[in-house]
Amino acid sequence: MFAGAAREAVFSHPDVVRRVPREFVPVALKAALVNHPPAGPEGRFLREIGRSKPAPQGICAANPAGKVLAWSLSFDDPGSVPKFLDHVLERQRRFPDDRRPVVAKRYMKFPSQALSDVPDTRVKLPEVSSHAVDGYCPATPPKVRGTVAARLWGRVVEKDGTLAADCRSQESYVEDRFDIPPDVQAELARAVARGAERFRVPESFARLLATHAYLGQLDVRPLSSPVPHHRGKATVLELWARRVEADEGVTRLEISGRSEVEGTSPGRRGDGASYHHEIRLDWQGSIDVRGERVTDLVLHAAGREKLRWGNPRFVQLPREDDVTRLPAGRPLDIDTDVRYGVTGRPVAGKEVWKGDRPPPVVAGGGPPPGLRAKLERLEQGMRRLARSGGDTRPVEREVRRFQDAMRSGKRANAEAALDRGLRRLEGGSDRELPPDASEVHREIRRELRRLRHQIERLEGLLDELSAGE
Amino acid sequence: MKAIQQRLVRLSTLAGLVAAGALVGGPSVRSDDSSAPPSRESLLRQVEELEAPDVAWRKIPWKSCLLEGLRESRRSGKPLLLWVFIDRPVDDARC
Repeated sequence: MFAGAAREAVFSHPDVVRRVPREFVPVALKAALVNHPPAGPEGRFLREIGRSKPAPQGICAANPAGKVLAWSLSFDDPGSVPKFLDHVLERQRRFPDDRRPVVAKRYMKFPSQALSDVPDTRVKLPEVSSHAVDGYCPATPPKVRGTVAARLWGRVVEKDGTLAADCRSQESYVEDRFDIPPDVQAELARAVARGAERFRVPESFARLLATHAYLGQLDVRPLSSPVPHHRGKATVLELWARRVEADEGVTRLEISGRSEVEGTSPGRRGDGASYHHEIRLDWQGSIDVRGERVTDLVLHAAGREKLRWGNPRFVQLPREDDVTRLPAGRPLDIDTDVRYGVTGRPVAGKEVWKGDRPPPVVAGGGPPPGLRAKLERLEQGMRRLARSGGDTRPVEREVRRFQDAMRSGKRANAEAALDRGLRRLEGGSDRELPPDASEVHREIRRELRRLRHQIERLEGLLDELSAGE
Repeated sequence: MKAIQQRLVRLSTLAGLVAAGALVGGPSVRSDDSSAPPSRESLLRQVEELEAPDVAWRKIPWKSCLLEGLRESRRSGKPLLLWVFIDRPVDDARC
């Protein structure tokens, strides 16, 4: 919740918006980079910044030598935010470089709750040069050729039909980016190549769209949430494509359909913030396909969204300004009409990875969203198969292979095992049920017990993966 | 008999219209022609109108590259203000 709260409570404040560009050099850094610095000169600066961090996320100031002047996780009140900027400027005047030791000042809440200072190790930081290793910035690594970079906008629709005017908070307005990998596009292309005039859009493609169309922060994503013990399901995921024209090798598809997704979480340990999130959307759109690639994408969705997020204890606390509890956030309770828009185009130029080995990922960023999404599909598929009395053992074998490969760090093998498991679920053969009803019930209960055990193992693995983020 | 059949037809048509109306909940996607699906251009206009033009938090020109920030900081003598968080809301990604 921190980043969304910081954006709306701190970085939307008029004084801050006015002063930061004028008096500072603002840099937004992924926590994964600070917490798991890459190799090279940039990594050394990131390590220096991360050395004094009081929490994985926060607002930090550093002098031009890269020495940390101050950190703060929250503020006593809105008026304390510009005072923090003043505090940083004063420390910059006293410590403009690394010729004298620079102590990192830290605050749980500025200025009333100071944390212990972190002394300067006097480590000499490198000269600021260009990026090492293949010349790319680790904050924006290039992507596999053919990846479609998608942009999404979501906005509350008021009761009178107008779009929400307040766009500061993520529960009324979101902007997001995500990638459509080449393999997901290829599934759509294969469906096009089968020749039917009208066909169902592959689930992988539909699920990717439904995964990102939601209001609120990352934690409340209904599908593939990063929160441990999250349960997400897509009760309806039905998008249809109709060929409308084909010209110079490009097939244009007209898209229509519906998605209904739901996610819940009882709250992570030490946090207590639970949520329930439901989104029902009607989709329409246009996708151009050339060969195995999507070359253009425009989609619009409209529908209804309900979200409740928060810790029940928050309701009992006296109301405070949002700047005072940035790490915790504030409760969310919305039940509203919504609209979403998505556009996409293939990555080009410097965005494209040109190396021979797999493209880089941000270190410590956790499993890629695609892998997490496949895990969730597998989990849902196994539940469905068990409910229908099918034999889950072939899928369970792939799950064990996936687990072994992840523990060995062999992500490609892990993903291959997931793909095989998914193919078995999607193609798979149900075992013929014996005719006797009581025997059927016993068989189902045995399968459910075995499945429950496998799901618990998967959940444990997801928890481990999330803890590693 | 004919009158009864005609009444049944009217009732079933009315029921169909009510059912279709019940399915229309929330905002709908507009089309240039009420009977035809929207064109790509029409859809793009609807998507573009969702983007808020003057969002306060987008007015701060956040860099995403630390080295670029350090170069600018050394050139200008200004301190860096670092916003460290899970995922990155600069360049429009959700946080």
